[in-house]
Amino acid sequence: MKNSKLFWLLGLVLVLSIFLAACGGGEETDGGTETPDSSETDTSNTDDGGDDAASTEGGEPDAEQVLNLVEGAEIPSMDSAIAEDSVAFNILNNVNEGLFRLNEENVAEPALAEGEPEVSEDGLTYTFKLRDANWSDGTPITAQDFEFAWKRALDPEVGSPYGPYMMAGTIKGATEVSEGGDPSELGVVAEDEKTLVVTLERPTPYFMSLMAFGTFYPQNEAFVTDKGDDYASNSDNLLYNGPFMLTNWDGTGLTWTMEKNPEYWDAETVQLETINVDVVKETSTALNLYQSGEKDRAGLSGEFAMQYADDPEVVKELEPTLFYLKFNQERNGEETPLANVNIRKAISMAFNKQDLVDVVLANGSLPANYLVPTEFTFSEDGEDFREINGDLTGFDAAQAQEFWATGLEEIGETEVTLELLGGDSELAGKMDAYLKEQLETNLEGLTVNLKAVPFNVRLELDEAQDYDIQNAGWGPDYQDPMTFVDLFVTGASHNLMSYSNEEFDSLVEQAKGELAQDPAARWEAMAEAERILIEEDAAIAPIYQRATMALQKPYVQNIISHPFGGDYSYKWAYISGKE
Amino acid sequence: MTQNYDKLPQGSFDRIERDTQQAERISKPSVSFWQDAWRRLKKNKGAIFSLILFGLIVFMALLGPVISPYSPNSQTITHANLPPKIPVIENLGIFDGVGTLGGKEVDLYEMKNVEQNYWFGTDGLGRDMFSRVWKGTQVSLFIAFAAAAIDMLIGVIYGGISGYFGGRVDDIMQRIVEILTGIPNLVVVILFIMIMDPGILAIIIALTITGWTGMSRVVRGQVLKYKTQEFVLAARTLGATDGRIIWKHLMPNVLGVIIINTMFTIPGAIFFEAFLSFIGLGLQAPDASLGTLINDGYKLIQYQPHILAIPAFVLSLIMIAFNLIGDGLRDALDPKMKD
Amino acid sequence: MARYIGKRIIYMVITLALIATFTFFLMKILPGSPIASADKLSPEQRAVVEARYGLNDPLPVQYFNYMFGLVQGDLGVSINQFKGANVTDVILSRMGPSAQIGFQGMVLGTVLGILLGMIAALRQNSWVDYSSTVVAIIGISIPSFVFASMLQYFLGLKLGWFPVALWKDGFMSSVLPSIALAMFPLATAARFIRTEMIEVLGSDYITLAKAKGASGSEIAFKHAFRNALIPLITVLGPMAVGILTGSLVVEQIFAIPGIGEQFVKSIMVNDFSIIMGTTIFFSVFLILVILIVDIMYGIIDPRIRLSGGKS
Repeated sequence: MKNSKLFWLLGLVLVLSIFLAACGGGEETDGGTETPDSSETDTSNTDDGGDDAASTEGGEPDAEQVLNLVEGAEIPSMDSAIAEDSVAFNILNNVNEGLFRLNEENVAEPALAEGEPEVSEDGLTYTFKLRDANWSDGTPITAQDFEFAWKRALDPEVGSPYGPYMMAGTIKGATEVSEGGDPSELGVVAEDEKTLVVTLERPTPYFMSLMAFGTFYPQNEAFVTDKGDDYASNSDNLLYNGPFMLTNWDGTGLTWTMEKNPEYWDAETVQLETINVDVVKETSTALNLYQSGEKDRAGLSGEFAMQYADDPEVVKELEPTLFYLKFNQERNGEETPLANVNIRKAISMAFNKQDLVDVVLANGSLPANYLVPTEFTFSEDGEDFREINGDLTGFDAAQAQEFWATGLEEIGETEVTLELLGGDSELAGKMDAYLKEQLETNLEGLTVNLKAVPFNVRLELDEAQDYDIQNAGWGPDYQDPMTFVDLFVTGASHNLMSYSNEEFDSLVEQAKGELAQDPAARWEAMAEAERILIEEDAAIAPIYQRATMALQKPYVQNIISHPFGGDYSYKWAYISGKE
Repeated sequence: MTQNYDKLPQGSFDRIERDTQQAERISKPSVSFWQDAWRRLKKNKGAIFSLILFGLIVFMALLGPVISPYSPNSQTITHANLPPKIPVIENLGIFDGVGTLGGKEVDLYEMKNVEQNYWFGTDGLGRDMFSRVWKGTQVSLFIAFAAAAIDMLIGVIYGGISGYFGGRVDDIMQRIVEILTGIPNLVVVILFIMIMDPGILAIIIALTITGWTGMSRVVRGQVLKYKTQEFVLAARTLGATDGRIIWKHLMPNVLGVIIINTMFTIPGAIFFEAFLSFIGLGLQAPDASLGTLINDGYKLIQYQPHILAIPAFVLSLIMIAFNLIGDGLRDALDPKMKD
Repeated sequence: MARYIGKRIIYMVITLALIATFTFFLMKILPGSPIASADKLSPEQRAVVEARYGLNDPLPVQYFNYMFGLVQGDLGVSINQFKGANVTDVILSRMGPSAQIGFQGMVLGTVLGILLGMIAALRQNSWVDYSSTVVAIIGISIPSFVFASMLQYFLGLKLGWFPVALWKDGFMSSVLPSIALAMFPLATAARFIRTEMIEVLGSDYITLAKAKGASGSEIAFKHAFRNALIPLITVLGPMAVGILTGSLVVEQIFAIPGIGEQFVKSIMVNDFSIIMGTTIFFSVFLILVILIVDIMYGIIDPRIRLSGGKS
């Protein structure tokens, strides 16, 4: 029986090790910090919207210029025509470049374009001069590269989602080309190697900021054609023209590297030599990697935001992303109770947004009583669009109950059951549970049933208008209030809740058309449209404007976050003070 | 040895007649198989303790949400994230409402001016964990029992028939099982939950749709093993019907494995539900199960340990109880362990 | 035997075809669309994008196209997870790490579980028995995501014995994930072996062996162990599948580029070709495991005749 003694020992060690782990768990957990049930209003973080990281000036770059980052998901595609997700757009923003680029102040400034373009009187023709710059393989970047890339993004054979979305209605002929029309009709012509002429469908005041968006980046025709199906399938089958080059990406993996691009025209500005990126989907894992020093930055989502709220290494960023309740007025061909404006007003006033952002989100998000986010768009005098309208609604249980009583009477019901469609993330679940409780407590006779589904299922239900209330969010595609206001025009592809108001429609139409050359009047029109949408019609109920929180090592300097397009720029980032 | 019958006191013994009629009579009271098993189970202290423990958990699961002054889903947002506090026990230094705040230990109840006592604390939305834990236990047990019962029913019948009759029947039945087990159950479960409206029913159906194949394989394996043994052959020779052979001769032998398998199906089901919460396909908010509670809690382990610890503790108790009951039943039901 | 295996392989192919069919149609009733930016497109533009992936064809046409491709070994291209990437390449690139941690976890768990179960059975009702029960119960009463994150936190971050996460340090990176995966097979094996060993140890031939003077270890290994293994083999197959479920969680927590980790996401985002390809890949693996189990069953327990053999 000698063997069995060994087994005893083995078994004992195993048991002990597990108990030790379990006991350790108990001790360690007491060491965590707890934040107060904070009710302080986060006015302090409204001013770190765009320049959060920039504000932490920390001396000269000294240590090894290597940045280690995590990303939340794989790269679905690095083909700028195919890209449609934040990961790809973020990398594209750092390894490639368009005519314009968002600078450290989040203003679109000429990048591959040499200075501002020539704009015709009617605001329809833009003539860009290109600077002398090369692809990472040394070939010069030409105007033809832009023409090719844009036409490719519209080619039905390529099947780009963002190409038609960004270009149709803006660039002349884009709608037709995207539906199989003759590409030579497209209003994009390379006059010579360094001159690109773009003709628009209608004057577009925010056209420069579009030029910083990934879909409008150039592609080298010879290279793309040569690679064929393999184009963009891994980091070797791509060309770069931005501050960095993508390397070590096998097309499906969880890891990649960005290295400084020596061919970049502004290479002397770029300080970082290498950026190592790993995909880490679990927030807790990312935090452990951050704490072990392997990573320099980790996002804090959901539950984790609260735990680290007081950590000195926390950086908060207010995003121009708005979350709101969409009220569907017609479901399966029948009017819902939400077709009644008083019911809608009652619901939109019946939940406490301040508590929601303080306790449930606890990440610096702002309660929203508006459609167009704050700290997003500014007039030429630097005035925030938000200052025109201010708050358009707000939590007011007493008033909500009045509207509710009136509404119920008008529709002749005493009890209403509504479905609240939301996302399947943990945070979404928690938030929807909170909303359900608030609405049911504050509005007598209301029952809210929650339905949590994955994102693309929600899209499908949205499209079929098969929901009552939906917790939806929207981030901008370009820097103009129009990217939000335009969503709710009658028949718009994002409306999908049978909201229709002629006055609203005509205001938006004016802002797009006749007022396009008169910025002040245009803003007034969009502000009035916003007021009608929220104050008068309560077509949607804004909930909050999102902020994100992350831990960032103090030696990381100058990562710039952007409100749209790619989330971050590392062009100006550097490492300073790392041992 | 001499036998002095004469010295025996008179009347101490009666002389009895030898009665051939009575020779076959069973003198002990007739004990059925199940009575016998119960008698043996009662001797197993661990099993009885677990039975009582499990009974207590079921009792609390039913009563807990009722006796708590707070309903599982009502939120008092100003009372969010309170540690547990129980009136009498607090004097012992545990469950005293003290939590750490900025590195210092403070009575959070005092700080937040909370008069009430939350026995198991509150979660991030200020919901009472006591009623949530017990409500969650109720839901988890229901899912597990429903799934295990369905698995067992289908699995035993299917596996029994397939194993016993063998031949062509077995061949066809096994091909069907092979297809079902050939599809990873992960795929089927996720697909089914995505297709049906998420909820308890969807989870149960998704769990059982392929879950029973495991049971059927085990039962078939056992039936195959026993049906060729001598006692079955003997029974058959004596003219026992198929039903009698399956029920009286094979079942008691297979039962141990069925029970152990079920003892793994139940925790398996509770676990799978927790796993579904992890990938975001669990119960719909605001409903709670042990799985969703643990999933909410494990992220807060450094910060709000009670949110993980209490449901995890209840879950472990259930597991321990199941295992010990299972062991006890196995020993009790094993016909070879007569005493 | 050869004839039996040949027959089983023919069944396998049929089984696979049926599984592919079943999954294909089940998948097509999934809610949601694989076009991620559907809300940004007009119906015409959307139709154009869908046509590119053949999603507009009538269902039977899609089905036959898929099956035709499958026969030729073509699993199609990913629609949105890795746009345009060949599904075979995706699976091949993700298979390695999953196989490694799955295999290590399975071996570690089974071996330790068998040892634990044997000790427990040989020392029935002693404290060793009880502790092994406790280990087994811990193994099945802590959800893998809790256990994996505890391993990561204590052994990875606090003690620094192993990498916290990521797949960069070869074998060392695989240690914690393998331990996390081993818990379930460990617990299962320990329970099964204990039960069976106790039963076998009580049987007549063990008494006979004892009477003949066989040593304790001889009885344990030569007689009891072999018989106790049989039911374990029946559960090994399903257990290998359980590893798949576990590996998904473990891969996600340890940020390992495995196959399970991206599979759930493919269902969530309706990437049909990835769902199909991965399902078929898992199925082939599973069916092979089952076949091997059945053959082993016959080898280990001579009382069981393989049904295809001459009887």
